[in-house]
Amino acid sequence: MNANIIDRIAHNNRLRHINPKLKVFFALSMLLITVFSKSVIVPLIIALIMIVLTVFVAKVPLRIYLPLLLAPLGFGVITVILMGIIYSGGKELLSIKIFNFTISIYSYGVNLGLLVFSRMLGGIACTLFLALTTPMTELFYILRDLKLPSTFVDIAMMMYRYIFLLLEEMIRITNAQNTRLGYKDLKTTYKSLGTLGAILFIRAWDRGEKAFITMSCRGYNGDLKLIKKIESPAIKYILLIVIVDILLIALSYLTGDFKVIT
Amino acid sequence: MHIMEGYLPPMWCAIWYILSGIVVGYGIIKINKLLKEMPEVKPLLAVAGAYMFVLSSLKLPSVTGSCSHPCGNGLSAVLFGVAITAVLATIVLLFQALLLAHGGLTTLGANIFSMGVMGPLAGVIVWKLLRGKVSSTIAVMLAAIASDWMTYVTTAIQLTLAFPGDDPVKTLITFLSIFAVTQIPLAIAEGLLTAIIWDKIKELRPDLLLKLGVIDESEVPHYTQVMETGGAE
Repeated sequence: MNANIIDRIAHNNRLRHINPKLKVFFALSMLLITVFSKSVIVPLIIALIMIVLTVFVAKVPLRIYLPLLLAPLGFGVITVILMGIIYSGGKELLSIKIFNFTISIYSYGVNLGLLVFSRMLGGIACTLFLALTTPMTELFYILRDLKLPSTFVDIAMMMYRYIFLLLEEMIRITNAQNTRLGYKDLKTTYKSLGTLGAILFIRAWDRGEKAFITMSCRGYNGDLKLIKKIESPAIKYILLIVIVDILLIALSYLTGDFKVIT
Repeated sequence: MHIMEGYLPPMWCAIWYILSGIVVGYGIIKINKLLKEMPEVKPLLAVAGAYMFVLSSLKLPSVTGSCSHPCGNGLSAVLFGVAITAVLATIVLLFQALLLAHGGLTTLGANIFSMGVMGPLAGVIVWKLLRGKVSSTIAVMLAAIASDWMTYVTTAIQLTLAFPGDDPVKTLITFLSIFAVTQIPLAIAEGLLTAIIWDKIKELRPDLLLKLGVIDESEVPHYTQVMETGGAE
């Protein structure tokens, strides 16, 4: 399961012991710069930084990292082609005649497509950096420090726990159904999936009720208490990140007019 | 399908964040109110959200041979209503972005709006309209179809608004024909699956559905009425 792989790597990587607040600040500031940039150069630089950090510094195995990065990018390539066809304007680069239809690709659309593609690459690299180096459990503390409603954070924390329990249960039920030829054709597949969904719902609900009883035994009254706190990172690291951010913002202003195809 | 990280320009990221933020905020207020009377709401909503996440990782074969995954937002909307579904969808989408690398953080607002607000809204409207007129299984099936399909229509509109091009109407039609039309068989597949799940829950544990107040006691006579089986007194 993908969820298991990412979670396991988040707990075992070379950047695991860096202050999580620092990692969140770094990844989110880079993400914002990526989204705000107007040319392809800055997002590509950010993507490069993030990929190098994730693969060579955090030592995330390439055979796990590449599929995660490439799957959304396949969608990105389709977007670029579509945008080239949909949006007209600028020079006509290419026109193909299929029967009576003429499909033309214009420079405006291609430029827009490439910009969106580079932003997606940069953005996905930033999110993957955050996802692969910071465990969710530490993110919950940060969400709580950000003064998000405690109801929201509590439900998220418990949900995180139950996701893995339910996934395990799902895999077990699926295997049991598979050994009984539960997925041999379309009709049985639907029947099996329906049973699987219903049983999972019932088991999940029972688990929730049991969890409430267990929590009540330990004095739960509608609010979860956490004792651990995450300390703030040293000022010098924050300053370093801010300087990198400012450099990238300046670069994105300087290269604002850059177009791949003029 | 989620809008990918970095796809939307900053202005639209902010607009969708604000719009879905209002609904999610309302949902949190609603949960807090419920929590005062029933503290068990928190663990129960947590497992419901985990269930949504797990359901979305199922591979659903479709008529055309393609594969899709159920959204689960229709079922959740019927069970919990729009506002609470929006809160659950927010957490599920956050986890999908960080645990599965689906969707993204900047586009989270837009994805919540399509999957947590508009889809469930369509589902609930269909459910309310049909309730009592047809059996709950058929109503749930149609609600799931409506909410799945509405999710994709909203996505198409969001993509158009982000990059309208010269002729917004033409762009909208292009995106709608890509998303909304290809989604029809997938929506029907999700509807069928939801109906099977619903039927099974109704058969095995009708007490859960009765407790949530989504079905009538008359629908599950084998559970609510004492069977006259005879036997020794």
